[in-house]
Amino acid sequence: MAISRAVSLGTAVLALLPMLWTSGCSKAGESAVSAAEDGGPQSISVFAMDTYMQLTAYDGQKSAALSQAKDEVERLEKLWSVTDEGSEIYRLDHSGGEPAEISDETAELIAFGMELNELTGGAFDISLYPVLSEWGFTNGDYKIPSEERLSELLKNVDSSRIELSGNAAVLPDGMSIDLGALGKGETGDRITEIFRANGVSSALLDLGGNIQVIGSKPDGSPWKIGIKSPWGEGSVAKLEVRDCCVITSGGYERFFEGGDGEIYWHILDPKTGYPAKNGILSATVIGKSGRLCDGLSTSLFVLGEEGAKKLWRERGDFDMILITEDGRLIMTEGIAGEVSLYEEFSGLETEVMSRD
Amino acid sequence: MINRKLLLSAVIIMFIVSGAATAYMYLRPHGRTVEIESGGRILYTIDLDREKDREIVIEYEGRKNTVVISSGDICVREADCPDHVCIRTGWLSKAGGPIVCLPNRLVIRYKEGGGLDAAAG
Repeated sequence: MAISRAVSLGTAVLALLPMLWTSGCSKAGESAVSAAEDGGPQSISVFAMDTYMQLTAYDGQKSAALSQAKDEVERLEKLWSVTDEGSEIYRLDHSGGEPAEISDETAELIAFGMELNELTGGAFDISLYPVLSEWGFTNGDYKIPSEERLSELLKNVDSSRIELSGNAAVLPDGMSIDLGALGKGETGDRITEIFRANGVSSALLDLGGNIQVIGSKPDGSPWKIGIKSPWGEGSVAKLEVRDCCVITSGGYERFFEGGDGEIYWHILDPKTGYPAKNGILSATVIGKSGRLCDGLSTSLFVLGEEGAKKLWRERGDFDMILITEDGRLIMTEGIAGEVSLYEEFSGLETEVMSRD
Repeated sequence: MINRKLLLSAVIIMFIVSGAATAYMYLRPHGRTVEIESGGRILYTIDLDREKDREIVIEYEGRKNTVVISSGDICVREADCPDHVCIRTGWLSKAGGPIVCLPNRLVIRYKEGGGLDAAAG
């Protein structure tokens, strides 16, 4: 009897083992989290440059990379903020036509903005800020400006009139610039450099919907990036990429409905001062340089389908995905193989552009 | 002997119950847990598959966002921010980005990503 009791007890203990495993599960989960601090990914999130940024590093000197990246974001924001009285852009915008001293990185980004202005035949312009502000897109106080007011403001929109030599810049009196359409892309490029210098070879940067990835996922597979739907929630397509930037501009990101029932969005045509309505709902640019992708996504949206296609044929340094008002998804050959449509959007007509 | 049989069946039942519990822990749907962050602090961690329908009002520097959980989905229904981007984002989607209200420093996001690592736009 004593023996059988011992056997029963032993069996009972054995029976309880799975329960121990079950509770052991959450233990394992906890240690996975703490292990994540040494071995797994590390992330930070930052509210800066008018967006919400999430940076995740999967290897290398993660803590150092992330804290240096955060410092860099904050430094660049101080340099380029349009509203912070201490920023270089604020000083330049209030220089009353007098020369102003700017740092190398500011000078370089202004020069890049001017190049893009020329490249796009004026579809991209960093001096559009006063018009954007008049519509209320900078503070959410939306209104439809009068035509007189717009044509008055447009007189001072033309970034090719900026004089730049070394670290001195002269803005014509009455002109104001804003690097907002390039700043996030440039910041992503700088964070990428910082990450690489810290031995990070796998990382995901989400700068308010501007996606820049380093390497591939830790398991070697490509990053899966959604292209947000311009019609509502979710994504239209999934894109599989390594080592590149995926940057989208769309009217759906910020808009208001006017008293006339019309939708007015924040991407303005520098030629008219009105929202750019050229048949495109969203323009995504995929490439190696964040600032180029950032500036081009806005430019392609403004240029419209034909202009965008022409620019793509002239250049060899980017791929694009355009979603049009009439329900087409146009993609270039370099990226088409990596794009898969979600089932809800399988009705979209797809078009692949090739170079010849 | 009867006692022993009883014990044995009790043991077998315990095996089955704990085995089922283990299987449930492993197999139940994961990744429907969302975090609500305000002003840099995570205020709520919510499992959408278990949460009852309810409204949560979140205040940041005197401004409010009303978050609604309904049939396992979450969105911002009302907000006293100027641009209402958070409301327009609609229901939080695995295939989209987080819901963000910049002026009120509010972020609603999935704790673990779904099929996507991020969304552009």
